[in-house]
Amino acid sequence: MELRRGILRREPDIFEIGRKGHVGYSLPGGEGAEPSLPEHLKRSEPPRLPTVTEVEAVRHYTRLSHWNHSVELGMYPLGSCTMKYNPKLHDTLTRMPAFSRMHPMMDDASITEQLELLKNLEDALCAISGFDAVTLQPPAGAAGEFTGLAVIKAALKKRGEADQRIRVLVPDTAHGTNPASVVLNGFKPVSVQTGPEGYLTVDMVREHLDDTIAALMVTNPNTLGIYERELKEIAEEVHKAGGYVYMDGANFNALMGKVRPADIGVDVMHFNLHKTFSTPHGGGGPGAGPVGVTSELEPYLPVPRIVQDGDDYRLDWNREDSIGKVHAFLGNFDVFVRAYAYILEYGHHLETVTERAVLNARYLRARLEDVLEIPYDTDTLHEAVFTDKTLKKETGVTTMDIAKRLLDHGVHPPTVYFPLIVPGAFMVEPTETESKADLDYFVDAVKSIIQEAHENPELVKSAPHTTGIRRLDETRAARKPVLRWTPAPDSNSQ
Amino acid sequence: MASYPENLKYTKTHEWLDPETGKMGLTAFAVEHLGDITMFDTDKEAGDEVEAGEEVANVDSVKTASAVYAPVSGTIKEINEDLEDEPEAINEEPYGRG
Repeated sequence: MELRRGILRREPDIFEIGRKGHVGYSLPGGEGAEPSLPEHLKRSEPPRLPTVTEVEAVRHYTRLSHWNHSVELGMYPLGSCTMKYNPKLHDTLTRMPAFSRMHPMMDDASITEQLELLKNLEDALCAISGFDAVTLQPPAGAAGEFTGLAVIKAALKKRGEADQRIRVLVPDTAHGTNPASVVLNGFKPVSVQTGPEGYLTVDMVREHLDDTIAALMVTNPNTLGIYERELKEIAEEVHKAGGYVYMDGANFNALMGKVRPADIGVDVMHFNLHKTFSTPHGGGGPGAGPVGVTSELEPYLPVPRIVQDGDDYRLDWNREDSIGKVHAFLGNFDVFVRAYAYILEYGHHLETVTERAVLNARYLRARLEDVLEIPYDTDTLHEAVFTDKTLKKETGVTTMDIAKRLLDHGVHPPTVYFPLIVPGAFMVEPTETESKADLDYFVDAVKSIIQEAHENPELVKSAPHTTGIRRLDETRAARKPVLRWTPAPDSNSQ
Repeated sequence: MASYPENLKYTKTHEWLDPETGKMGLTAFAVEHLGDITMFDTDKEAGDEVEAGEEVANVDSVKTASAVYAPVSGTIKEINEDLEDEPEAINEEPYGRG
């Protein structure tokens, strides 16, 4: 008899589980009742639905969900994603009736306390970053990028220079979404090469500056984990040329409490609350990508703005220069509650988060650099990028193989093959919530895999060996994707 | 190991050009670094004029997406349309069918 309880190593698909006569629904009018639909809306043949009861369907998906990896199951050092642990207390707070029973159509007067929370969060983000104003609306990092650049576009239009200033400089160490956000706003991305030490230099940026420059869009620290140490001087040059400086703040976990971007000449920055400020992410959201700007750009922020009226708070829609609305209602409200709670918990000690995140990443780098190559010698902050260059030459084992083998150790693989300027990149970001014991476990796992690569490379190349699903043929999946279920010839379902 | 036929000319962005026939493609080096190519896509047609350095096509691989640039200015004579159905030819024969 086939085992069919607990977590299965091989879970049949829901159609295979089906048994003749099992149903999980009932239609009005009872069995065999004809739906009262016009003839032309009726199907000519019955749909192929799985024949399972409700509890069978629930158990099937619950078993599948146990195959997932999450930060609550093990380490998740996915570079650039800041997969820190999210405190459970925050979930409790979002379930308070004042938040969970709010309706999006309630008028300002009935949600003045909730608006106060949002205003307080905006003010806290201003204090942390040095900006004069923040909008919370954008629902994700890339949405923040889009909004920030749209604000720059609106400001250029106001100056009468929108037709002339169309180029946005994007370093090759920027996040991959940056050039896309540039194009979406009708600008033209211009790739700027990173200097020999892994950061931008004033000289390299100056070469590109003229009166067609709209902005520089820089990720800081960049995707090599390296701080852009010349950014202050670079920003002065960009400003002199009449452009703005946009900073991608996705890596703000390396700077929080240490550097206020507005102080070094940044005009616009998006935050990723779901990274730095500890709100859950993965699986596509919900996230939040608030945008901070200087007072010069404040008039162009999305409407509505939250304003204080005596003791009350209300939404102000009356902003003639605003770029308009970028998300429905107030944005992803639950995310704001969690991020605000996080900021209040740490208070004036937010910088300890940064210090520990950097310490953890540097510890991993120090312990792994004798077995995995580092492409740039320059000091790194919250993440470390390695390359498989020598390992691949000596053993044939690649970054992808190490990543797959890590699954056998119960660790989520780091980011692979990014940034693009590092061949075979292996990008590790442990975050501050991992203990030394967990970091050591990761180091030991990587070291044992590299030893295997030398002694028994096939073992690593065919990994993973202990997961529910083994290595997938990613090439075939991309070249010949099967996007629609079709019944197997011996299927039990009808 | 990647090979580089001597009768071809090469760009810094890893395209090759055959000065005799005017054919172009990606070098074995580029293909090795891209990994398995899963999609070839171009919005150009035979007869289109292009400038040197202009983006003429895109390739997707299991690792990344990458642009292909025109090695010289000129008119496109023909597009290898087999690549849309069979992008793996770029991996298999970068100087031939690919």
